[in-house]
Amino acid sequence: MKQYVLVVDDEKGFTFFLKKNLEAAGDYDVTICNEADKALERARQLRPNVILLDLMMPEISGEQIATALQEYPETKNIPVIFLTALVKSEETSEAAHMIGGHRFAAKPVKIDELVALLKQVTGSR
Amino acid sequence: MTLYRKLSLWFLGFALLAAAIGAAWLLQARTVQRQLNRFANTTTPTLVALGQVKSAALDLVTRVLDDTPLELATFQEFQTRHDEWMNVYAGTATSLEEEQLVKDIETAGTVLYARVRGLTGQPPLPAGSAEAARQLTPLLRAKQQFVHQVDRALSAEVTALKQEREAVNRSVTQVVQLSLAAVAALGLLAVGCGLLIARTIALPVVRLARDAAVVGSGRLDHRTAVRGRDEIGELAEAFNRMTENLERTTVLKRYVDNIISSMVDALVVAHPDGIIQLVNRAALQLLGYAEGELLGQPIAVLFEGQAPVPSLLPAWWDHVRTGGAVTNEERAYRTKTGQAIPVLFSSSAMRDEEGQVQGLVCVALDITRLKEAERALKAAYEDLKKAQQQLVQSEKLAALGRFSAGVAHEVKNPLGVILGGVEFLRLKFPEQDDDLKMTLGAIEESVIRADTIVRDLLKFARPSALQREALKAQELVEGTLSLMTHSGSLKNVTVVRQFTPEAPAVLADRNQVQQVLLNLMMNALDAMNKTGQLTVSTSPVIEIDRVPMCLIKVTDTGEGIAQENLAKLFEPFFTTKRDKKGTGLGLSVSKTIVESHGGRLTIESEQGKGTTVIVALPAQTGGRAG
Repeated sequence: MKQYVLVVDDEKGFTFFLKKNLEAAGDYDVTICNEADKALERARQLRPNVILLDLMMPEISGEQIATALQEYPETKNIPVIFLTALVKSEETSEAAHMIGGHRFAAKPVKIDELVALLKQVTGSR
Repeated sequence: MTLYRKLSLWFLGFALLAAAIGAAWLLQARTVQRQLNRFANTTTPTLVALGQVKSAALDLVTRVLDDTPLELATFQEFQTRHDEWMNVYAGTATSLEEEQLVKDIETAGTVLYARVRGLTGQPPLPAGSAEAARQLTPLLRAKQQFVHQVDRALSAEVTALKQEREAVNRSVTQVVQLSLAAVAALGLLAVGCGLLIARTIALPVVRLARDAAVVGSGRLDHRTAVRGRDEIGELAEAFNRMTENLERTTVLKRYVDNIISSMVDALVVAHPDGIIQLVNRAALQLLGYAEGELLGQPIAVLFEGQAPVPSLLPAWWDHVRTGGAVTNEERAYRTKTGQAIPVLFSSSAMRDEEGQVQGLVCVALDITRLKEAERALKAAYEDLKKAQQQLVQSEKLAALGRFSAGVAHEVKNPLGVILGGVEFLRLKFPEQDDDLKMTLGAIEESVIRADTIVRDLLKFARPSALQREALKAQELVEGTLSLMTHSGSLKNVTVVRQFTPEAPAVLADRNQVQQVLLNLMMNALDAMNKTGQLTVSTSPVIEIDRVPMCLIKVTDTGEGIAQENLAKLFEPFFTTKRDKKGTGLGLSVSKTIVESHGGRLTIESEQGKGTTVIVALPAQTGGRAG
């Protein structure tokens, strides 16, 4: 079953390779959103199976977006995986690999690790 | 008037009075003597002469009347006798009255002797004859007349004698009276003198003696009330002045003694030859001596150590004697028990009015507490410096961490792109030749390596908020060992555990300390190429810098660390394992973590034999973890 993935990250090179590699690695349909302020709108339109959210973006942080997603019934239950270049200890419970109640993957992330994480998330649904 | 003059005058008066009395007495005695002389020289011869004249006449008349005729010669004998005595009598006449009497006797005598002359050479007249009666009657009448005249003279003389006797009697009475009066007067005078002397000399002297006794008994405020303008007055005044001086000096001495004994500073006064003459209470208390043990001793006994003072003594002495003073020098006194006491020492020469050196005054202030405080201050300063160094070090690391955090974000994103690119190329070119495979592999490896470095760097950026709990050191070690066993790292290693049951609990963040131990054990394994003996041990409580600690030691049998590298071990990015993907951050991160616990991380190593890393963690005081 095809999984729809929305990637929100301002790093275009990263999203480009992520889409290519992920779609090659499995049955994924990846939509790229490079503008954080449009992420919510895109999520509500697309209603993907999973959203990959960069934590640190210029306009809005990934956490803010994740909070906003909670407010809409159509996006409320979509699982979120944070992508982060920086892991702040006060935000994480490292043992559980969670940030603010969501899973995270530290950049640079290997595609097979990410696939394993996606499988966990979607499988748990 | 001075007492001397007063007394002299009294005695002079006494003598004058006595002399006057004596003179009066002598005068009176002279009068008596004169009267007696006159009696002897005048009255007696008069009476004798009158008696002779009378007896001559009576004898002559009797001769005439006897039976024998009167010879002329016989008559002439009587005549001569009469004339001689009449001359004597006439010679005693001194008054007109007496001269009249002499004339009357001479007249009667002339009549009588003329009658008798007429009868010489005649025969005796018959008794009772008319012739006899005619011739004898005038004779008898003449005789009667003559006797009458003589008796008048005698009577007058007797009257005079009576008067003279009365006069002598009066004079003698006067002399006796005068004598009695003189004795009485002199007696009174003597009594008066005695009283005066008693009043003016003896009484004040007695009172002065009493006052002296009172002052002598210690009542120095007592003064004599004896006053006067004489020597006694002067004596009393001098006595009062003396007492006043005594009081002042005594009071001053007591005052000064009180000051000396109340001084906080230890005071020692030495004779110019260096012998101790005076010590105050503070000095005795400071040094633990009794007064008698110090007096007479050389001043050198006060000082700690033979070297500084005796050798300094002559120079010091010359310095002080030539007017210099020693002020607030740090020296050490030595107590009776030999303990050294740091003091702030001052000394100066004590001089008399002529400037002669009388002694050496030494004052010492016990600065033990000051010294202790100084030492404590120094220790605190050292601690502070160390803390500051640590702070600087940790600040440096923190700054590095903050910097790393900034860098990490900027680096990790590109790393993510690169890694994504490598993976995309692998997808894109499934058929790779060796060169391409090698290239992609090298790029991927470098990305991972860069990522590891950034991740380690980020550990510095982590806040040092520790989740501390009381943990048994042994437990921490075992936890780390089990992690390593799971990862299979200990396959070819002999692990030796030396845990002591006396090991105290430590206050530690379990995760962080286990990370440190893991890091140290991995280092140990790397040092012996994963083959050898790994010894882990714990210690009982040991004090490091006054803090009770527990030591955890990790010892390997590896190659050891070169001496020149030991000092650099904790520098960030220093590594000897560059080829084995070491980042050079492990030990610095470990040290930071241990020190954030208030602990110490030290390394001992002997090249060729192995290395021991010692983690000291603060022990939980007052209990042990179960």
